[in-house]
Amino acid sequence: MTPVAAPARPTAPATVDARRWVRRRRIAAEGRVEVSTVYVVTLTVLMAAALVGQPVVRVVWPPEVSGDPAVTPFVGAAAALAAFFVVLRQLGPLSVSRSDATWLLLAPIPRRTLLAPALTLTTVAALVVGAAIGIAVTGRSVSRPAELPVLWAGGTTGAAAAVFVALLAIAGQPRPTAARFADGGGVAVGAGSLIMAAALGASGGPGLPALPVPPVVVLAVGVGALVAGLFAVGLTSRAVEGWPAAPIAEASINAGAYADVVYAVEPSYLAEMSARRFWRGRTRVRTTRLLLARWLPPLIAQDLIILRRKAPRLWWPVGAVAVPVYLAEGPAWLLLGVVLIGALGAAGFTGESTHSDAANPAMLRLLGVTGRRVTAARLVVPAVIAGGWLAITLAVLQGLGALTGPWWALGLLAGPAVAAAAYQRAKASAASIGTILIDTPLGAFPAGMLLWLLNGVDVLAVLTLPVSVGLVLVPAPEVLGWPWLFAQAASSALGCALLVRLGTNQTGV
Amino acid sequence: MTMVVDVRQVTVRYGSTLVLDRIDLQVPEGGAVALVGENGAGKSTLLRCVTGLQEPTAGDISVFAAVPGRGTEFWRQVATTVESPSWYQGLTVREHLDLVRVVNGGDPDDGHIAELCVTLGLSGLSDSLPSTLSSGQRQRFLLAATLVRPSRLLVLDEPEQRLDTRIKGAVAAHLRSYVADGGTLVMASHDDGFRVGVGAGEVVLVRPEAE
Repeated sequence: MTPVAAPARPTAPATVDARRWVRRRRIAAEGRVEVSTVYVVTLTVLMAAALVGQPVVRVVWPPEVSGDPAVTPFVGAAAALAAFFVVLRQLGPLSVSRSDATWLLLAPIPRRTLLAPALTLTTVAALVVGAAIGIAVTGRSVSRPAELPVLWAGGTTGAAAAVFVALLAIAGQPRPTAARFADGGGVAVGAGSLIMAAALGASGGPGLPALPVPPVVVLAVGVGALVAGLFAVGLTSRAVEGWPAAPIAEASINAGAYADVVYAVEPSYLAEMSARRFWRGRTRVRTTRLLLARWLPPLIAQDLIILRRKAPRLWWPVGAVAVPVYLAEGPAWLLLGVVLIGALGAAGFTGESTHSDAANPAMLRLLGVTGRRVTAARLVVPAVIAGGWLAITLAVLQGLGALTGPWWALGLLAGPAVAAAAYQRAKASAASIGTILIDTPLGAFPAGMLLWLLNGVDVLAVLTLPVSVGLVLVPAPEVLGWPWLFAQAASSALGCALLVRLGTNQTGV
Repeated sequence: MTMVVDVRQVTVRYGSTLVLDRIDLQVPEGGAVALVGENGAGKSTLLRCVTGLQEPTAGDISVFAAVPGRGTEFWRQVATTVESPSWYQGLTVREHLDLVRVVNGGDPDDGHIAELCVTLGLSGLSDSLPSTLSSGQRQRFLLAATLVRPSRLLVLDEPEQRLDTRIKGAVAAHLRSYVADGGTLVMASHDDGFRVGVGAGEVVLVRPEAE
């Protein structure tokens, strides 16, 4: 009897080999990286370094420190670390390329090596960002000339903190429910720190006592924490073996979409993608009866429902109120830009319905309402949000002594004008502006970025002229007069009336 | 007899492809018609022309004695599922149905929505966001949104698609009752049993090149 060999157990090929094979096939098909690409990338990096290098160095390490060490830099560092956490969570942070997600993620190959490049990149990013934050805090706390151990202590402590933040973001990836709370916490800490830093900056803030231990001790603690953090990264690389495929696949899709945005210079997809992701994560939504309230027009009730459900995201506009405070002493044009763009962002909070109607008016046809009625209703909630945001921001600036007079009232009156601009902005869909190409001597350039940036800003600039001109021409101690308020009220009313009148043709019903 | 839909000698071309060739269709008030035919016979195209969402290459179409698709008054009378699906991010299934009913002057608490949700098997999905529904559930949700609003003409593109046998029978009964109450129905269908259940007359469309 001929012995029959037992079937061989299939062995898992190494990911490195699989990747190498894919890379070899790709090079065979497409060739290696072209010299022109290397040239363009190098030139871009050098130009960016030349343009923003000096200001960035000055932000991280200011030439001199004014006054005694204060709490404010530490609060600012908390805001920066929270922002780093939010960005990491948006990106995954552990993802693979879309083709790897399709062909290798579900193949029987070790997940650990598949995710190694992403884990390394995340760790390196954490080290660089954390070190920069640590040095920036040190640069605002120690007198010049700074000793080298002090600098190292700041850098390593910051790097260790950022590595732990990255570990937190990674830990959240396979636990979506817990991660949602962490996301909310990250945004709350970021926005709260911004507000606190602004308040401390305005009031001078409490001073810090002299460091009770020598810098070498801080350096030793920082190095110890950093080593512990890197050890935890090593443990994480083993833990990813047991991760389900879904969070990696989803992160890979998101990262791929972000790459598309950069490649196609088309940032308008970002808002749409972010909205889809936000709503997909809402699992505890309960039907309200607000739409049935007879005293409230249903389309306004719809915006209020959306506003309530997006409450976790309200931290951004709330935190953004603090930003103009940092610029109160700066150039008027910068303050003006930040105030108006901040208001536009706040007014766009409920813009998804308008964007959806512009992209596909099927729901509007089903509702059977006139374009004018829709436009008028969709302006109400954004006008209140923008008016409230402007009123608070301008009142804070007034409290700091940068402005005098009824500026808060001017902010309230400018709300409808900002809402009109936000409505225009929300209406522009990716499909309508993304396909426009501008011919240049170097080839066709997708106009998406330019149009996305400018869309609605033109309306904003025209309709909020009284606010803009007032911020430039009437700084404290000059008192804002009532004619400015009348001018803004007229401009807001005219802008909204024109938009509502044009609404019939634009909605298609 | 008053004709709600009056299609005369309508021709539609996509480039060099002839989709509809001099089609005539008259549907009186309270009538029900089902367009049948193989894939590519032009059923959806004709429905889109009837709703005014597509201009025919030649021929005349009138709905309620007017050019279709013009203005709010038309859409107050006509409800359709021929468009690509759309919904509002952040509103639940029930809130969409409430919104459609309230904006059209109906009473969301009169039991109509609850009855339709039972008929279409949507009762357990009231708190769901449409983006989280399966394709079959989404089809039922959009059909419910179309049926929940008051209308005089329904234009439905294969309403039986992705429905199981029980729900298909309930939808057919609902449409039959709509027509019995004086509504007019024009639909495309691939399911003869469903068409008979609705009580719709058959209009066969044939691909022009197959003639």
